[in-house]
Amino acid sequence: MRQALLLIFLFISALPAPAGGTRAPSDSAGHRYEGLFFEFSVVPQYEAAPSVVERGEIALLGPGYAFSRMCVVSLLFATGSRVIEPSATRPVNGRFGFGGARLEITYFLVGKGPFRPFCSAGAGLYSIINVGGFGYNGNGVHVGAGVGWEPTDFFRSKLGLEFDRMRFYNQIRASGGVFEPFTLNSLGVSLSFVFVPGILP
Amino acid sequence: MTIRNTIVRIMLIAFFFVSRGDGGEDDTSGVLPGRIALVGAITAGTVAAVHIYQARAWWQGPRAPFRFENDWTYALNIDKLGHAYGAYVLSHLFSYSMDWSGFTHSTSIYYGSVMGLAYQLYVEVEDGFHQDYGFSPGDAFSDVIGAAIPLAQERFPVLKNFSLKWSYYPSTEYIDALRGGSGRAFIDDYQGQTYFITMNPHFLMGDHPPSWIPSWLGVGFGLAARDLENTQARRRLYIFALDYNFSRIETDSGFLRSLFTVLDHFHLPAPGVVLDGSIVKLRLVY
Repeated sequence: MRQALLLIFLFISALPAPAGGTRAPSDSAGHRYEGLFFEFSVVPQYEAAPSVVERGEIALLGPGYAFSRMCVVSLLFATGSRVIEPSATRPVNGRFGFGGARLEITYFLVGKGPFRPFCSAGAGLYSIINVGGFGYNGNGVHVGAGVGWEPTDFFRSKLGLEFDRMRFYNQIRASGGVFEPFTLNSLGVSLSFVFVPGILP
Repeated sequence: MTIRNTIVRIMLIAFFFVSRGDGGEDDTSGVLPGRIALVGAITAGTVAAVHIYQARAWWQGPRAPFRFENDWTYALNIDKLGHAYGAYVLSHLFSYSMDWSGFTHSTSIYYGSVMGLAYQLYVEVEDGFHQDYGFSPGDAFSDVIGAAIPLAQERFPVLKNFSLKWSYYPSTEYIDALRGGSGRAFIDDYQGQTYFITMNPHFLMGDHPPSWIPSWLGVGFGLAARDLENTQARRRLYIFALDYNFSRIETDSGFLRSLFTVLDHFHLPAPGVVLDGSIVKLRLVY
């Protein structure tokens, strides 16, 4: 798992930017689609499985880079909360604060029009900590799909369904109990808003 | 270094690489190598000095495995405004430096924001390895917003009528801590800091604003906090105050223009009204 994460990050960091760049169809007034953008998302998540019931709400915000109109990469910071049914995690459980960061690559399946379906995949690092300062560190993978709406060159919103698999593998602070690594598999609905300044060197 | 620490660093490096842009146009024709070298040297020296200062002020305690930790209730969010303001000022500072070095304006704005954000995130990552702090996603949110403002202002020029500003007067608690021999850093003195969003009112008045309103006069809405160490008495203060837009004073002096640009990042004392709970206070100087 750790090696896989490392490989994903290295792969994305090695991706070259296109030499000439791809311009948006409406790109006639000096606006260029490639370059830095900023994304904000809200995602309620839920999981019901035989071994664990958990729910959470997270907000994500971060910068991204559009290689073209079709392919973008985002670095999203996450904050929120997570409630895990008592006894599902040991030695501490219940309500946690949730924090993390996720590197995500999104590919739009259609290059034209205001409505464009997309799929995304990513990997991230996460922590959940309760009010007593006890909690767990973990990492995970993410996949999602949905449709984006672009009323202007400078703004788009996205509505999607996403799945996160997070593995928590160590305690942040020893709590005295026996620690058991655990996995959360959450399904969520994401609503995102993206600001594209359209400014490039 | 653990695998987790390595991944954290790679995430930041990866973002920095993918943010390079493709440099589709030649924007280096007017670049002045001597100025770049000077700016580079000053930047490297300043970053090193600030790192040493921060290491002494914040990161002296034991290190721990990297982790994220929310701190949304800390300092009644005045620290979040501080992070946004810090990223905003750093982005401007890098932009001005690149402008001065001869890069095109769009290049300066773009890389100014990228570098401002990168530095702020580096500080946050260091916090993530510290036992007493952790990487705060809320701080990172604020950093991103602060670094995005100059880009938004460039894309939508009407936003240039608004600015983030900061004022500071040491709090009693901070002065007492210093007298007690504490090595506390003034940038953590959130009770002494006020963050303002200021506005140039002239843009609301069309092409012919009234002549009795000086072009350099602005208005600001500020946020501050008091009694942060007392969970019962801690509260926010809301401030409405006059403000100065020095950059709107016309001058042929390059030095004065630079000075005015710097001053416009600070709220200097001006008359204002302070809402402190249910109490309204009129201040001739805030």
